[in-house]
Amino acid sequence: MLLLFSSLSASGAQAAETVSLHTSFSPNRLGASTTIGFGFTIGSTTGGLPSPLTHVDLRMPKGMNYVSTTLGLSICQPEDLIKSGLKGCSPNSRLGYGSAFVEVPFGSQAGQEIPEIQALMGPPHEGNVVVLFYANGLTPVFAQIVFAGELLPGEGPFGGDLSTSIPEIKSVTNGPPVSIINVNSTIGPSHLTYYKRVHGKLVGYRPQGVSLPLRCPKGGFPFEAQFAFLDGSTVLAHSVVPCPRPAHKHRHK
Amino acid sequence: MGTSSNHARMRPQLSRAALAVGAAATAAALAPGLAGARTRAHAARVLNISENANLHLNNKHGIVLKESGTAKGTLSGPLYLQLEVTSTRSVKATVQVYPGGGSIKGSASASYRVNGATASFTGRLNITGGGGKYSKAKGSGLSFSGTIKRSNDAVTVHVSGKMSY
Repeated sequence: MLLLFSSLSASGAQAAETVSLHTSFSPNRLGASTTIGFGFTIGSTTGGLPSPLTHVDLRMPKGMNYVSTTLGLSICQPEDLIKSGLKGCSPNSRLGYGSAFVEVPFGSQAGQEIPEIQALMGPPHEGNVVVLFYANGLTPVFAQIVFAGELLPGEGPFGGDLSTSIPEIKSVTNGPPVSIINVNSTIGPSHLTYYKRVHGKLVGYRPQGVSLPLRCPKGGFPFEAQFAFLDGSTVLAHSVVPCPRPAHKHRHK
Repeated sequence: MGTSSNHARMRPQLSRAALAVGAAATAAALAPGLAGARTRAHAARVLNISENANLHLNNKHGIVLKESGTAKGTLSGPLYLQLEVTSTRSVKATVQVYPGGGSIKGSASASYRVNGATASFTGRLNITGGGGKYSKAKGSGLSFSGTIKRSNDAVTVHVSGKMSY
């Protein structure tokens, strides 16, 4: 489900950012291990390029089991990721994957895709789970970027808050930063393969994801995200994953 | 008349005497019992406990893990642990241990952190009651800590501190 919100720009009548947030569970089944899908699209009220994104707080529903997941059994060190890319980290540190679409502040404004974003388990910070995002950019944003999100305890209807600072992504050396237009990512076992040793052989398996609660809150599972931009503006966006349909009961005649 | 009036005067005196004798007899009859109760009552015993247990997952229901194993230490015996995930950083737990002659129950809250393949928890445990010879068990602020092997939810738990019973 998707809801659209626009920001109150810090600079009054100037352009303001708009953000649509979309979220999903796959599968959307109570009590089941799931893959959380989230994405957002950023626009501008003037139709021009939105200000570069600097921070996202993604607040996720309460009651989800963020603890008994087997995602992130290995830890990826940011230095290894920067030095060697994904090869520098164990496959058992992968948490999810995604892609992004950015626009450079010059040229055709046709946008450029960053086809590969990987989410990995980083070293914990002050006891909190850290998610490392690794973006492998191609020309004209030819850069491998690593940035971190920290899973903080949530408040109110939210059980966790993935707080992520986004670094400036330069289009060219000393050039202006690119604007993020669209991001889609997952956190969960979908398309992930972990490995363990069984009788001396490496065997692939699918890790256990975050589990959905056994009951769905009234109105569905709420998500909220707060976006902060380089121009000082912020946007709050909401999204709800609807409650799954009750399991079909077989009647015996 | 005089006789009758004498009888009327005598009856209450007899009754009072009978009551006095009865009360004395009752007191005498009860006295050994009371003395016995007094000898059975005792000051609460204080025990410094230090228990370690390796537990395995019995079942997982939503955000609750149920684990069991055997405690080894001051009080040894079967141990059951229920861990409930209350946030990304905290867990609640109830613990039941069955040493010889009774059982002890406690509840704990702990902070929780994930570090790759293992997670750890550290907090405090209160002993809330028990059964059998530990029916008056109590204690507060005992140290409660452990680890969870994330690949299979195997738990090690350590409890230490003072309890009385």
